[in-house]
Amino acid sequence: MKENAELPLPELKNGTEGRIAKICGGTHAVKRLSALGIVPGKKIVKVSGMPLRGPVVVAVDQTQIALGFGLAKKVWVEVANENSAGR
Amino acid sequence: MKILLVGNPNVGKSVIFSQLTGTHVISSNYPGTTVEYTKGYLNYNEERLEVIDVPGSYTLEPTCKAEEVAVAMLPYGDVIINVVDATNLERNLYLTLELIERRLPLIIALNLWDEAQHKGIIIDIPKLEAILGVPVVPTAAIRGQGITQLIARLPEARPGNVTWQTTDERYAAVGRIVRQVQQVTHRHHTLLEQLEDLSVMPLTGFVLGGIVLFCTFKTIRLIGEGLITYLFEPLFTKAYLPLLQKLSSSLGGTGLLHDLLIGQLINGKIDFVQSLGLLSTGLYVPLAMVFPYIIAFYFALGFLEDLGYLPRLAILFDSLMHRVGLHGYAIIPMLLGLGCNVPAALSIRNLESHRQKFIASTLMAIAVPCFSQTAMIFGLLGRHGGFYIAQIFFTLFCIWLALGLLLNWQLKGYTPALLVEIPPYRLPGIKVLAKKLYLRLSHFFKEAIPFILLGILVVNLIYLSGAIKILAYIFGPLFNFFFGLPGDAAIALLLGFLRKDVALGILAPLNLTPQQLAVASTVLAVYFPCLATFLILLRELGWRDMLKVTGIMLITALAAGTFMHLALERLGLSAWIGALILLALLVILETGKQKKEAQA
Repeated sequence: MKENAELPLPELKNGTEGRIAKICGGTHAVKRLSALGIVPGKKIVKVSGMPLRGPVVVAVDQTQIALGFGLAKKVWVEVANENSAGR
Repeated sequence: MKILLVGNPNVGKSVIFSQLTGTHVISSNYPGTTVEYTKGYLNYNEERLEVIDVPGSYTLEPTCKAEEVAVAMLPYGDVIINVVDATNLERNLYLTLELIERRLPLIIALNLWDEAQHKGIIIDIPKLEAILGVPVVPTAAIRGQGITQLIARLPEARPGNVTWQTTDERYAAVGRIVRQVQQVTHRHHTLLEQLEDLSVMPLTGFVLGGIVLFCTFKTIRLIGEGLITYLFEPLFTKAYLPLLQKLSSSLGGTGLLHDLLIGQLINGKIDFVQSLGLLSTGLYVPLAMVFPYIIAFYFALGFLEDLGYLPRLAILFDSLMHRVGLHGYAIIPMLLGLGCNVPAALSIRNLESHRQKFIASTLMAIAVPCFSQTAMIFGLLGRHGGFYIAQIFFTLFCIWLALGLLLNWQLKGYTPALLVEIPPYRLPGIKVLAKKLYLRLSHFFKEAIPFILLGILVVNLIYLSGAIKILAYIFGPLFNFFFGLPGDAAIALLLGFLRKDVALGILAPLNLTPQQLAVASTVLAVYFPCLATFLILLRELGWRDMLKVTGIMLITALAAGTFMHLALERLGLSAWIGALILLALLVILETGKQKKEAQA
């Protein structure tokens, strides 16, 4: 099925590309993330995720950024295909 | 005239700084904060210009202490060089627009130009200049390219064109400008980029991490031992010792002044480790035993830093660090602490919340042995084989883990999640490495060495005044009961809080069994950091918290020493198994608690 789905970063498969839909966090989290360019509307690629709730590495604007698990699950990404979920 | 270098972290500001300035560079703290900046001088047209490397910032709406300082420093600059990463135009331009908004005299150094070309990024510089209204100079600072043009065009720095009004318009302007001036052509994933990806993937990441750490420690050992064998040891034994011997005989070989300066003669000779004099042990231990390793350490650290490996290391350790209430980047003070606790304590300032600082300081001061302590452990137990040494380090690690889990469980407050940019791998430049090393070493000399000497002096005074005998009389039975150590060893334990290496000198001739030595070493390593570290942590955490940390230290030392004593003398293997089971229980409890939180 091809359908636009919104998923938090940790649930995406490695290598998935998408667009940042929303940041589910307080003002502080939003501020920290936007300083590094992680804002709604931006294109984002999930590079890898560490097991056991470890950090997630993403690529935004030609840079790679690592987010701790707690922060990563606040970033919801719109992906084209529902099958992008999984590790 | 003051020139400020402003830009995002990791864009090569320090490289440009080192290319612009000469050898006279100073690193200082912004008043009232623990944020550091570096200052140097540039000779231009017979004028001496001050160049300041401002802390890296992503935005002028501060999200952290470093950015607050950067904003505070801005009004003091006559010219602002905005260092922009050509491979990351979109993110970097945001700060540029903020700077232009403030009508500051600006010139842009479009750095990493060579890397941009490698990546197939083409930027229309004249167009960018026209749109922004400020001069733009492409540079590849690591190769020294573009620096002359940058300096030549400094007089052209001027306020730029502001064509937006709201924050959203600023974001939109960035996007618009980038679309107009930048073109990205496709090219293949290079080998280095594949390595970058491997470094953060679960399996390969840890393998690579292990290799990197192994090579790093081997290199440190090589450089350290090399410096000792070929430089410092000969200096001390061939050049310095004869002078000291002359002084010794002119003072008559005994007496208060002699003992204070030269120490006690062992078998009629001056022994650099055991004599305990201000001029003998006082200089030998920090300069010939510890300092070479500090050099090696800082060199290796600078290399890993500039290579860009540290954030990837932080990723590997983030899960573990989170369990003890920290996050991945806290691995840096822990690793630094293995060299010297002083720079580790200083780097703890960079952690975001007070809770993190408390936990990191406690764990570092208690369970991470600085090189003096490591040297002491090897010195005392080396000839009894690796078994005891391994046991001590293993115990220290278990203490680190157990204490961290407990603190994380008990302390209120929050620990923010890791959020860090991962730069591409870049081969470090020699000039920058050398400058960094120089700055760090001069820092070490100013902050640590005076206290090392002070410590030796006080130790000597206490020893010689006989006050120590009274203390040993009081504490001796206590130490004997808990640790199984004889009265004289108590002196070492009491004095060891000032200088661990002095403790080595006192313990060495006592003919203790290896088990006793292991207990003594463990207690010494755990119960107090050196005076310099103590003072720095006191400044950072405040009286009340430092008192808590001290209490934790003493209790842990007592527990660890007693456990070691029991394990080695009486219970043997069963004690270790019991401890491991306890540790495993703690970890399982912690994991269960985290699972509950994740579902909340």
